[in-house]
Amino acid sequence: MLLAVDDVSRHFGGVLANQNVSLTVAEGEILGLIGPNGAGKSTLFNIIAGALKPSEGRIRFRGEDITGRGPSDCCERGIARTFQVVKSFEAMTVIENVMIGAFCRTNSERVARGVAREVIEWTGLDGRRDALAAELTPPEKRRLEVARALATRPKLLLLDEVLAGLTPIEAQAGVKLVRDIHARGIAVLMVEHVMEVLMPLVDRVVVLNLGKLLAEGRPVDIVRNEEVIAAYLGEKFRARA
Amino acid sequence: MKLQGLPLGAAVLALVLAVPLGISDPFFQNILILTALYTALSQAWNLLGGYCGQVSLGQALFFGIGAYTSTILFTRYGVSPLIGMMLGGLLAALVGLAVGWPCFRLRGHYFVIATIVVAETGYLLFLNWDWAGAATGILIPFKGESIVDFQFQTSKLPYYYGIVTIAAVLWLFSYWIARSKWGFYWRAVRGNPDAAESLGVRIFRYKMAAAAASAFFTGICGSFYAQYVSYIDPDSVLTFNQSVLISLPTVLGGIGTLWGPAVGAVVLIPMSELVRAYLGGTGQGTDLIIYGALIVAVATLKPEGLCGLIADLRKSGGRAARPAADEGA
Amino acid sequence: MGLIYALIAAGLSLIFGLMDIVNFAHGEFLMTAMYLTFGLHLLLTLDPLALLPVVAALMFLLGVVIYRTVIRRAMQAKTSVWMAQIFVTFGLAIMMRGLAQLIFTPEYRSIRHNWLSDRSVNLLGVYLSLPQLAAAGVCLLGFLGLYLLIARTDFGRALEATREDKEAVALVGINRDLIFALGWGIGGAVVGIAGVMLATFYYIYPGVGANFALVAFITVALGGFGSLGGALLGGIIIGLVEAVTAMLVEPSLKSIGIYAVYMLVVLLRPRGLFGYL
Repeated sequence: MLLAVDDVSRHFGGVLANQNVSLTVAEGEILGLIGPNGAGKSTLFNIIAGALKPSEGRIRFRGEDITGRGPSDCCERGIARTFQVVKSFEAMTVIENVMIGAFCRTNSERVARGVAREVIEWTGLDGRRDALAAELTPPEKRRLEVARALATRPKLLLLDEVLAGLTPIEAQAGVKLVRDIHARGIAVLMVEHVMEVLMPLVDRVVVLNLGKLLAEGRPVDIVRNEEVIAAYLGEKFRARA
Repeated sequence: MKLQGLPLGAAVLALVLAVPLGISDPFFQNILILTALYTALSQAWNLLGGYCGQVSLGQALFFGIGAYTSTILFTRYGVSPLIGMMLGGLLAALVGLAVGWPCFRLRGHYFVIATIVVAETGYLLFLNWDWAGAATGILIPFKGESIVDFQFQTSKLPYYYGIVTIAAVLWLFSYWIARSKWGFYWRAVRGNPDAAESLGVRIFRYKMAAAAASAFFTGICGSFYAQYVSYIDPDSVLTFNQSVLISLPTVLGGIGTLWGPAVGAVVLIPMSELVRAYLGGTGQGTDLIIYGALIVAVATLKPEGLCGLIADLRKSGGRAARPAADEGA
Repeated sequence: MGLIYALIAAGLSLIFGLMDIVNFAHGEFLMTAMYLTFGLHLLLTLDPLALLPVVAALMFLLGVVIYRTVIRRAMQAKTSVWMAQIFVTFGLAIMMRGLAQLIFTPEYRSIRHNWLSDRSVNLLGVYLSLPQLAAAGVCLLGFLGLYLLIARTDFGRALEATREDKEAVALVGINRDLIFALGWGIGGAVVGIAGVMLATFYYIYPGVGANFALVAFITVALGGFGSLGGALLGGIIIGLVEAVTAMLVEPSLKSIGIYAVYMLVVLLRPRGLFGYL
C-alpha cells in the first residue's frame, strides 16, 4: 500500500471538515476523489499533501508515518501536488519553473536542467520552453503545474481539479497526460468534478460527503450507487437509479 | 555580438579599474568610491530582497555592526582592519540569522516593518552604549599609510581599488549563486512560497541563508566605510536613512537583476552628490525630491528597473531572442 | 498621546484593510498636514483648531489625488505588486520630505500662541497640558466618527464589502475605483486631523513624519492590520508603554519599550490582536 489514510479527522473551530476518513492508494493506481461541494475533498487533499495537519488520525506513506509533516517533507518523500488555482512562478520561464521541481532530487544545475527538459518534452510543453510562465494560456499553465510536480520524481501525484473548465479537446489532452503519468508507474489521486472524463480514467473511486466517506469502489459501481446519487442530486433522484 | 555574463563583467571591471587614472580631483574620486560602495551594499541587499524577495529596510544594522566591529578591534586592540572586516562580516551574518529567525515567519509588509524596528532598536542601543562610543562615536586615528592597516592619506586610489575589489567579489558571488540551486530556490521563494514549498523547498532555511549572505557582505562594506571616513557614530551608519539608501540603487536599477545595483548606484550616487554640491544650502531636499521622483517613476512605470528598460531596448533593437537568463538572473 | 497614535494608525489600517497596501508615506502625510496647518496659520492667522476642517478636507483631496495618480498605476504591475507599492509609497515619502525641506527648510517650526498653548488643566492633582488633552479628545472623537462612518452608513458597508471580496463587489454595482479613492481620501483626512492637533504642541520639521510613522506601523501591527478597534487599542497601549518607558530609562531610549513590545507581538501573535493577515 503506497498511501494509507487512517481514520483522519479535521476540524476548523466548530466545523468538522473531515470525519474519520480512511482510504488507501496502491502503487501505480489512479484513484478518483469525488463528492459534492463542501464534502471535505480539499481539506483531505491538503492533509495528504502536508499543507494541513489532521486533528486526528494518521497518514502513512510507503510504510512511514508522515502525519503532520510539512509540504516540503512530503515532496521529498515522493508526494507531489498541483494547486487548483495555478501557482506558477510568473517571472520565471517554463523550464526554470520545472527546474525548481527537479532541484528536489539534485543539487546540480546541469542535472536539473536535463531533467526539466525531459519532463517538458513528454508533457508536451516543449514549444514553450523558454516562454515566461506569465505568458502561458491557462491550460498551458495547468500543464506546467503538472510538469513541475512531475520533475520532483514523485511516487504519488495529487491532482487538484486539473480537468475542470477545459474544452473537450483540451480535456482529452489532459486525460492522455494522466494516462502517460500512469504508464510510468506513478500513482495518481485526482480530485475532480467532471464525471464523464473522470470515470473512464480511474481505477477506483472514493466518494466523500459532508466530511465522511460515503462510498468506495469501481467507477461502474459508484455511478449506480444509490447513496452517491442521492448525495449529488438529492433524494428524489434516488429512486430513479 | 551581444556582450553578457562573465565577459561583460570582465569588460566592465576593466573599465572601472581604468577610470580613476584620469581623475585626480578628490571630489570626483570620492564620488567614484561612494558609487562603488553603494553598488556593493545594494548588491548585498539584492541577494535578500531582490532574489529572495524579502525586502529588508534594516540593513543599516549590519552596516553598522561591520563598521563598529572592525573599528573597535583596530583602535582598541590593534587588529588589522582586513581581519576586522571579515570578523565584522561574520558577526553581522550571525546577527542576521538571529534576527531572521523570528522575523521570517512574517510575510510581506509585516516583515519589512519588523526589519525597520530591529534596525532602529540597534540604533538606539548603540546610541547609548558607552563602551562603543555612544553618541560621540569612535575616531580612527591615522597611524600611517599601510595596506594592512588599510589607511591611506596621499591618495584615495587605494580605497577605490579596495572597494572595487569587494564589489567585484560580490558581483561574482551573485553571478555564481544566481545560477545555482540556491539562486533558483530563492527566486521560487520570492515568486510563490506556497508553490515552492510544495516542490520541496525548505523556505525557512533558504531565507536564512540569504539573510546571512546579505548581512555578511553588508558588514564588510561597513568596515570599509569606517576605514575610509575614519570616524563612525550611530548617526552615520545605523540610521534608517542609511537602510533606505542601501536599497534604492537596486530598486532603481532592477530588483533581482545582476546589474541592477550597479546601474542604479551609477545613476543615483553621482547625481545626489553633484546636486548637493552645486545647490548647497537652499538646495537641501532637492536631492531627496529627485530620488523620490525617480523611485516613484520606476515603481509605477517600470518595476523591473533600468535594467528592464535596457532589456526592452535591446529586444526592440532586433537583437537576440529574449533578455538572456543572466541579465534577468 | 496614545490616542493620537491610534488615529494615525487608523488611517493606515484603513488603507491596508481596503486594498492590501501599506502606505509608507503615511508619516509624510502627517507631516504635510502639520505643515499645512503651519502655513495656513501664518497666512490667515487663524487658530489651528479653526483650521481643522480645512486641513482635513485638503488632506482628503491629497489622499484621493495620490491614489488616482500614483497608486493605481502601481497596482497594475505585472509581478510583485506588493513590492512595487512598497517602493512607490516610499519614493513618495522621500519626495514629500524633500519638498518640505525645500519649501520650509529643515528648521524646527512651531505654532506658538494658539488658543490652547501654554495652558494646562489640573486633573486630580496632576497637571495635564491642555493641547495634549485637547488633541486626545479630538482624536477620540475622530475615531468615533470613523467608526460610525464604517459601521452605520451605506458607504461604510461598501468599504467593508470591498475589503472582503474585491472581485465580487463589482457585480453588486459598487464602483471599486471610487471606493479605493475615497478610502485613501478618508485615510488622508484622518491623519490630517491628527496632524492639526499635533501641530498645536509639537515641533514641525521635515523628519517628524518618519518618527510617527514607525510608531503608527507598530501600533497597527500590534492591533492587527485592517482592524479599527485594534488600532485604537494598540494606540492606547503603545502610548502607555512609551510613557512608562520614558519614566524608567533615559529619554533617548524611550522607544525601546515600544520596540520590545513589538518584537513580543511578532513572536507570539504575528497577526496582531485583531487583525487579518
